Amino acid sequence: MGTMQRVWRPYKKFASYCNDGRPVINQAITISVAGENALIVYFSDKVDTQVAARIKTCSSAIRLALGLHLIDLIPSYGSILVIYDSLLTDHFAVSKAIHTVAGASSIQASALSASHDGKLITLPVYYSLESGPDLKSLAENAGLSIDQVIEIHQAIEYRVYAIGFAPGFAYLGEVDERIAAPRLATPRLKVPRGAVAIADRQTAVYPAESPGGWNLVGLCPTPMFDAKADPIMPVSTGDRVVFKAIGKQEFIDLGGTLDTLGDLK
Amino acid sequence: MSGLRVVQSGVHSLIQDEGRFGSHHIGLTVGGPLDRHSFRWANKLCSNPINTPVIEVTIGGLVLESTVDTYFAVTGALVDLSINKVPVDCWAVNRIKSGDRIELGYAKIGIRCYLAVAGGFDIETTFGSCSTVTRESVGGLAGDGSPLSNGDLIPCGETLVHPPFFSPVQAQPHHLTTAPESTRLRVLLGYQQDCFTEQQKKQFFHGQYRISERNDRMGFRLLGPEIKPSIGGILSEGICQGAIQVPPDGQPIVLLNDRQTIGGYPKIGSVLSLDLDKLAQLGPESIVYFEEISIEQAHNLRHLAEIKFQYSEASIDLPSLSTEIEALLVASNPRGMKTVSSAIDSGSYLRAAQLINQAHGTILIGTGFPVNGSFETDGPVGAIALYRAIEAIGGAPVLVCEAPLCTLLSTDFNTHEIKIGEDGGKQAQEAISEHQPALIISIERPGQSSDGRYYNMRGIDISEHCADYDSFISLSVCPTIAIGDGGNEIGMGNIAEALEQLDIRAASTGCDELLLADISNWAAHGLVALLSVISNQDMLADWDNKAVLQMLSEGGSVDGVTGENTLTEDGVHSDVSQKLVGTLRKLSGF
Repeated sequence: MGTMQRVWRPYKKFASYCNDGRPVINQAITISVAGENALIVYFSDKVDTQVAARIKTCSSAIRLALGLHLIDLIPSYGSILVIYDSLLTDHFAVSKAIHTVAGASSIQASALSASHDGKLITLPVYYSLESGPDLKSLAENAGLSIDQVIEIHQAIEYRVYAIGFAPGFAYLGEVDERIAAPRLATPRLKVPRGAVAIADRQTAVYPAESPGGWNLVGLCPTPMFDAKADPIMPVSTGDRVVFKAIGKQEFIDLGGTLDTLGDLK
Repeated sequence: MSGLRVVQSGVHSLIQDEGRFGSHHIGLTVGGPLDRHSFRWANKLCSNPINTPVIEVTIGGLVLESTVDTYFAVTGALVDLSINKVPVDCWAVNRIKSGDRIELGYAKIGIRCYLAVAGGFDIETTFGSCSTVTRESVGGLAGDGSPLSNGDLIPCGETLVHPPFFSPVQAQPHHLTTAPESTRLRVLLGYQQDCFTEQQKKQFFHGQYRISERNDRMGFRLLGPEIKPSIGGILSEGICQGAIQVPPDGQPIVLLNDRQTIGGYPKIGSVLSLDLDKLAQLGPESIVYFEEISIEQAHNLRHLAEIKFQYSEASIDLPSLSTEIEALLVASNPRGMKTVSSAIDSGSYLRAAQLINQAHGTILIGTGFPVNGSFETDGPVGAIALYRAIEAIGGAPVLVCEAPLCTLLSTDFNTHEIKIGEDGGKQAQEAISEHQPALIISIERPGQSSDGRYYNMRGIDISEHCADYDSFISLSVCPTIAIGDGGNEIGMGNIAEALEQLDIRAASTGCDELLLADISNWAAHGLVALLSVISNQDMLADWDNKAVLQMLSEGGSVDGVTGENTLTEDGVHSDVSQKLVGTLRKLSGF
């Protein structure tokens, strides 16, 4: 099988074009094929608020540049997946358009970054072995007590880096390294709605019952996605989130239920 | 509200349109049909826009009862399909009437069927689509992601006219008629492909994988040679259709329509969409293997498939179209033609159209029914329609009638005048030797009854106002076609027995091919519709009924029923006829 060139490097000229000759860090993007009508644009492999700002700006710019050729777009921590109509355009044209806007948008992004700090949302969590079946293994692996894990999880003000995986599934970062834990080797087929979970240095609230491979530490009674509510989700990308421990009774009073736990283990 | 009532929802039946696009940023997945090829064909067969909602039936067992008259098509898996227990074809359009029961058996080859109705189901969209995504509680009948359940009414309107009569198409893919031993999934390497060693890629592309029990609309988990990427997890990123993710256990998962939009397992690449259609039809234990292709190849394959789909023309089943037209043209039954129509073998319009199409040379078209010293609007309009169509297919038509109609028509058309009170036989013989016709047509000409006299619908003797066209028919050596709408016209001799049940003085002159209609002019349009299909010309496109009536009216025509000089035919407004022409045109696929 031939070694086909599947990665497009940015044109060198953009570095100087964008910045009047001054060397620019964090400028390079990498575009890879994702599928027959999808390219993925990588900005960084690090979680970073500046990168998040650039991705936000760049997403809007790509939307504008591709217009009707764009089918959908998924911004995430360090990347944007661009799904295009392959009957109207091809990967060469899309890739070229992305390079053009990525160069231009980096200037705006640096001006924008950190200026918008998003709103602060507090999400109540019922932490317990009953509602967070992975608390025990997580604590054991970290060499911490269960209470310490719960405390550390609440101690950080998280940022919404991406929304995806499921409607209203907000990826929050970054979790304290001490309680960061890899995904389960085999994902669970059923994780209950409202499950508060950790994977690596990310944390999230499952907005609906679904399969998932994250470590479950508690349950949140606040609905994360309601098509009939306005807004549909309590958080959006760029917002800040803190977790606050609540007791079982308060969890139930706030509309939470333990009936959905089923045979969680 | 009318529609299809779910009697039995079957194993798993979901409303699906093309999918939900543009909402990935709030985490909504695509949804939509897993086997897009079959989905698109279901809609194409029903002449629906491609993004029309259908029912995706997994495994089978769906039973529906219709509360409307419409058409439907089932594509996808090989399955037994019946209407009221009578087996009918899949990958074809079937007619259902209110009260009919559609039953789908269980899939024999493949696992998913698609049921579309003409005009589509009328379902409210959520986030721009009615695709059901159960996991997200989005879409479907109630917009809450519920699958179809017993008692649901899936709203759809009445469709009396079905455009193209597709015969069972060639689109039915081979893998849905013969169970494949193994299925090739073509893969574009991408995403984190660099995290897989050459050795692992070799294993991946040379190994065989088995579909596990864990497969659903989110994705198919495959079992086979383990491939382990150099990294266990990545920063969560967007996942595209067909992406192959590899969790730490090394067993690949092909992600499908209801996949999560973002995920953190490494991905080696993505399966070509055309092959996802095949994958979606496989059940547990089926064998698949992977083959590498480039993005350029994928692009070409996708385009070729699209062109093939777009260029698949409706192949119109002429006998069905003829039957449909015959039923349509006597549907309102003002003078009992529907009642007597069973006396004629089905397919009369098609046989007549073929006679016209095969007639090389002159075709005589006799018309004109005398009313109070003038002539009826019914007859000449149809004669003109036939005249134009015959000209368009290369024939030489001649209109045959008496004055004053003949005088009027002779300015724009080739005519042959026949006279009242002449020796009919001699007159006909002379005309036949002059024109040497290849075919003789009569449209709404009074026919001699058994006593040799002519009568109108009220039984009044009108012989003194009628020229003899009957002799053209009886003396001809060429085929003859006659059209009538009451029972007293030339040609009705063919169904003399059936006409005894109607209160009229029936005509006894017969013909080779008798055509019935509620208004004789309509029969001409029906014939032109069939001729349009046969000659592949859209001959009904520029028909302006009112203009023709206007021309006749200025020449003193009267309505045969009201006796008034109006732009009507047998008391029916011109717009009704114009609408019928539109319907016929659609029926013939234009």
